Amino acid sequence: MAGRRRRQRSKNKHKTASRSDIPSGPTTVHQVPDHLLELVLLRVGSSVALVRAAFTCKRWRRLVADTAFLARFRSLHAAHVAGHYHVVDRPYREKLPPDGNNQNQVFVPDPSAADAIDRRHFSLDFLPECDDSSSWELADSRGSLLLFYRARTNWTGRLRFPDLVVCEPLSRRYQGIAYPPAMRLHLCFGAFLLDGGAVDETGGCIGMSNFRVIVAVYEYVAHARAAPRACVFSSGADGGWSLRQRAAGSGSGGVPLSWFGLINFVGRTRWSLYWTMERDGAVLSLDESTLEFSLAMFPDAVVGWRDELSTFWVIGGEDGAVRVVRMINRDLTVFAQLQGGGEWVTEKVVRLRPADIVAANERYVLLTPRGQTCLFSVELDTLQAESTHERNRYAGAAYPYELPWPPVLQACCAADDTRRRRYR
Amino acid sequence: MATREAGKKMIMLKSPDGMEFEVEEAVAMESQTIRKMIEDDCADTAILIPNINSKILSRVIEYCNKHVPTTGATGAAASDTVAPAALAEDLKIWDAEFIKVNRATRFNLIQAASYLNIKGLLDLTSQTTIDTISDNSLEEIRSFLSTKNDYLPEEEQTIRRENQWAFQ
Repeated sequence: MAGRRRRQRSKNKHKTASRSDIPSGPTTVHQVPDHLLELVLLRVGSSVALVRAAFTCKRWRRLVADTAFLARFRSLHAAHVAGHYHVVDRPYREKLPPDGNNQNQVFVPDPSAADAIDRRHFSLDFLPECDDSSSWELADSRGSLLLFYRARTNWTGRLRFPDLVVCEPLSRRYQGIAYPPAMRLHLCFGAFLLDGGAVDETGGCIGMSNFRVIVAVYEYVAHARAAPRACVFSSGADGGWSLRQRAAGSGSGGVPLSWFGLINFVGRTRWSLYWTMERDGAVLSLDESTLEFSLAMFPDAVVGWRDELSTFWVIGGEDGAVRVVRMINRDLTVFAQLQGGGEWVTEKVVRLRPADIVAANERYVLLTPRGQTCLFSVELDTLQAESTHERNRYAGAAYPYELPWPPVLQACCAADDTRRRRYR
Repeated sequence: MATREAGKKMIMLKSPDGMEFEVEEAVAMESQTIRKMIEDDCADTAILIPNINSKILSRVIEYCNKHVPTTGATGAAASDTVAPAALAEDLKIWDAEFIKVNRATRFNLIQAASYLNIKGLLDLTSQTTIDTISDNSLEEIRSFLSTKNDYLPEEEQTIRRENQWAFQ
């Protein structure tokens, strides 16, 4: 900056504006006009800080609660992932220190979360109690909601259509969902959370009053063959169960299922859920938007040959592509399907010790070295293996948990209205 | 009243309390609002900046002076010798010092930055305010911004119950 001269010249001698005429500008935050305050509030880094800001005073609450403001805020800030709920696979549960709480799943906060929220707010101790012969098991997460199913401990009951609970840990609310009576004895092979059907002014965000649950049902049809059927539960006053037509087992376009015991959930992308059925490339998929089942063929080179004892996981990615992760000998390999063309390419390879994949998601793959019970994970961005992260203590799937959106600011608006009416 | 001096075009900015500031055109054009006026040829005489008093305007000019790109119209390769990263770091430290002002001045600067459309200054002033919000408890925010808690006790209770997780 050296050499730059700033010239500033005062000429206020001949112009004697009286001091009272001088616009003094805002001196407190109350005098800052709405549109400027909005600009400031849009910069709040997370929805936690936004909730805090909204409760500074009523004016701020009004600005923040405005749907146009919330929409703008959301377009600038992605959903805030506070951490992951880790399912602890059964053999690992005994190893955890007993502290009297439900240890079927553990919440691990995201280290990058800017606003640390006390871990106790993620506790699940508010869930309704189960009797001795059953327990709540985590099935899925979406937004700020979690889906649990009642796992019965007796073997035959374990696979039948379960009771469900959808809950929001941060607000400690839950809704129990009893199984549809007509489906009581059906076998199920998956339960998942979907966005609600209602498109309201919040843009149809998932929440306790706007969600759907989909249960994949295994249904016997004629000649000892089976077909999948999607049962969908919708929240709201006119919600409830709707039992969709089964994907016709016979005739053209049918989706035949293999023996129930062979069906294995192997992951999801942004739009679809996947199961393997037999040791070949025919993979069962469920489209989350159409709720239709179909069979997808994956090339043998990607998912492994029939006689190979290989496990693979389907994962998505920011770009929406379908990916497959698989251990090929000692190589962790990521395949991606090119958009449109359907052609598969090898995207990433990293040499590891012999290991099996325990779980995989868009961000990392959890593995266990062959013949051992310890765990390590590989970050898919960097392909770095590491074993010190807290997530490596729990063998099982990890479900991302986002902070509730939009923030709950409505109770007070209603209160304002009633009071105004009362005193008018 | 644009004048020429040492090959640099000068612009006169006037505050409503009668102060006049002569600044380089490049500096003044850090403000998108003034840039438009100049480009539209509305700036043949001094430009009156309404609503921004001389104290604030001089701070704004100080900011623009520091932030005007060093490779100006003069063509001097000033920035070649300094590593861009070091320059950015230097600016950051300068900004941090610059924004150490009282609350009223900061709100005035936000308003001025918004009116004059100076993105960097608006970012700086808003972000500083936001950092206050993010790092402090509700009571601290209120006292810092000298806003009054106008919620009724029962309203406040409802809020805290519904959003307990956000308040520890």
